[in-house]
Amino acid sequence: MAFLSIRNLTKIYDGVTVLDNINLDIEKGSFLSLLGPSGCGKTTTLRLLAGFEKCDGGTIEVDGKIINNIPVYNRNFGMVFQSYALFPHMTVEQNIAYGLEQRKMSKKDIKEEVAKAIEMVKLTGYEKRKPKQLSGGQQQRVALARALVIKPDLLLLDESLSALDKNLRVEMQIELRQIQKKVGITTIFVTHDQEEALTLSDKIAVMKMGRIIQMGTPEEIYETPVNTFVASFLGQANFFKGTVEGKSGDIYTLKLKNNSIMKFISKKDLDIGRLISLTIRPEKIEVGRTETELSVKGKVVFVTYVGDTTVYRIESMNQEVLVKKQNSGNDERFSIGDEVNLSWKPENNLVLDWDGEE
Amino acid sequence: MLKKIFCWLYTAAVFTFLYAPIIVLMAMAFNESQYNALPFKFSMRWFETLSSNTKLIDATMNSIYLAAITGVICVILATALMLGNRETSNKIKALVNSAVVLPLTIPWLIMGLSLLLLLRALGLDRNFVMLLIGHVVVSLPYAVLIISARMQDMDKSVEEASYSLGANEWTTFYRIIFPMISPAMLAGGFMAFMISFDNFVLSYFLIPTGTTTLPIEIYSSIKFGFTPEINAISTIILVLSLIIISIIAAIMGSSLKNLVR
Repeated sequence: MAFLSIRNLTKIYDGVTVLDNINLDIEKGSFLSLLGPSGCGKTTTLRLLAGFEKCDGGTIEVDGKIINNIPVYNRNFGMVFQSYALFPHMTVEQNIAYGLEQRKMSKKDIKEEVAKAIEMVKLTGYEKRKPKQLSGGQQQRVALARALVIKPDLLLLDESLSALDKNLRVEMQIELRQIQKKVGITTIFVTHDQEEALTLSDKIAVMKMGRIIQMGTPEEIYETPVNTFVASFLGQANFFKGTVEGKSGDIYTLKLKNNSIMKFISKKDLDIGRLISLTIRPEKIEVGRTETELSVKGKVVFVTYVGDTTVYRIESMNQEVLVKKQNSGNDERFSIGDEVNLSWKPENNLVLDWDGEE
Repeated sequence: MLKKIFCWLYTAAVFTFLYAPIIVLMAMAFNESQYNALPFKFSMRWFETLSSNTKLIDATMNSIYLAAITGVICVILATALMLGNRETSNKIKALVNSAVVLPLTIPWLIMGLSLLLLLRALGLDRNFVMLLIGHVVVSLPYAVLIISARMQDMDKSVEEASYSLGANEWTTFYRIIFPMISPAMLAGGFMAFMISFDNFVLSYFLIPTGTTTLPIEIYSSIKFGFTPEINAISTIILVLSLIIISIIAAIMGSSLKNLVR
């Protein structure tokens, strides 16, 4: 039995369905990311969970209890907002103590708990500061401590790291994950940043237009996306869109929409005439000089050196193919204008459905 | 260089235009002459006669009393209205916002007349309650503008954070919202106080017979012979206002610094 289960959750704003029958199950202590472009309903889901808004259908169940009608202040969920939403007129200490004061704890216990929370987020020495005297990362930590100190049943994070600059964000990601594991709290994290979702989550739910498109571990989502939207939203991907034309053994012929022909291997049985998008991640493509039966020809049109990797843009089969190579020093490097052959392992091409459009 | 000099001259001219009359008024309060005439001879005479002019002092006290009640009522109304208004749909929000500042565009003369006609229609005499209502109506828009401006800057998620930490609506109001908007409430209240204190037209229409306010008293004293006592009391009021404004600016300033990230 899942700790949190959402059944058929629906939300309609002014006649527009922003959440369409969402179903989710989350195990106790796990970290789930809701990932999607803006307007996909991820923040709405979080706000319904927190209780800031009422749903138009479905149920939210926590630990076996339906909480739909419990007001926000009785839910005991910790929330960290995108803007941190610290109380500007209170010190760090007072901010963190606020939730405990609502729980009618004794002054002495509050003091102890606050001190522990401050230590946990490494803000010792900043107790008496006001939020505006803190940096973004420090404010973030206060917000996290404030949410965790009440020992919530659920931790809700709304794009909580987006406002930080890149280095700090990465640092906070690691810290957040460590604290989350230590406390063992069930966490739901809303983000539009795929890298963040991959780094932090036990599970990711990819959302689009008010629906959950795919839910699984970061690896499942990245390696076996269910459709081209998921494949392109998480990481980069090359799509070869076309019609399955022929088959001999497990080698299929694909006629692309620009009439180029390519061959690929599929373990799955594919019907002739099916519209597919053959999907290959840039880092899974090999670039070489030698031609094989399945390799495709290409010409390097652009090379970008990005430190640890080199990104090649290769014109192949009348479309641009993105290839990422580690700069390990073991492989041959290519430059603009080079004629190359592209190949990949059969298990690295994914056959996804194509709706026939762009 | 020439441009710079011109700029300075222009600025000086504008400020002279703005402040010279007030400075003359204040200076004449300390002038011996009964007719505000020169040469200037320093004297505290008018302050002395003022201290025994009970009529003028009573009028001032009436004005302060009326303005203070108006200020308090305006702050309460404006705060409640703006807090409630945030929860409504955008359509209603826009409607309320324009309806509440509309009195700004209605001439006070017409406002006073209409309230007087209302009294007649109700068969009532001019009374303090109606006078107070009139003052609240004309002062409220100012309080609303100041308080709503502050509320619009407020991050709604700060309140939501309070709820999520287990605080109900009431606790959230007095521990989170109130401390954040109290400087604006103070400023709004003071603004309403000043508008009411200064108002002549509405008071003239609605004041119960036998009582008077400072603006009315000053107006009638012009008709019946003007003494520099008026200058003296104006000077006192100006100085007091300046002190209050400075205090409020200090409160607003320090609290704004706290609120701005």
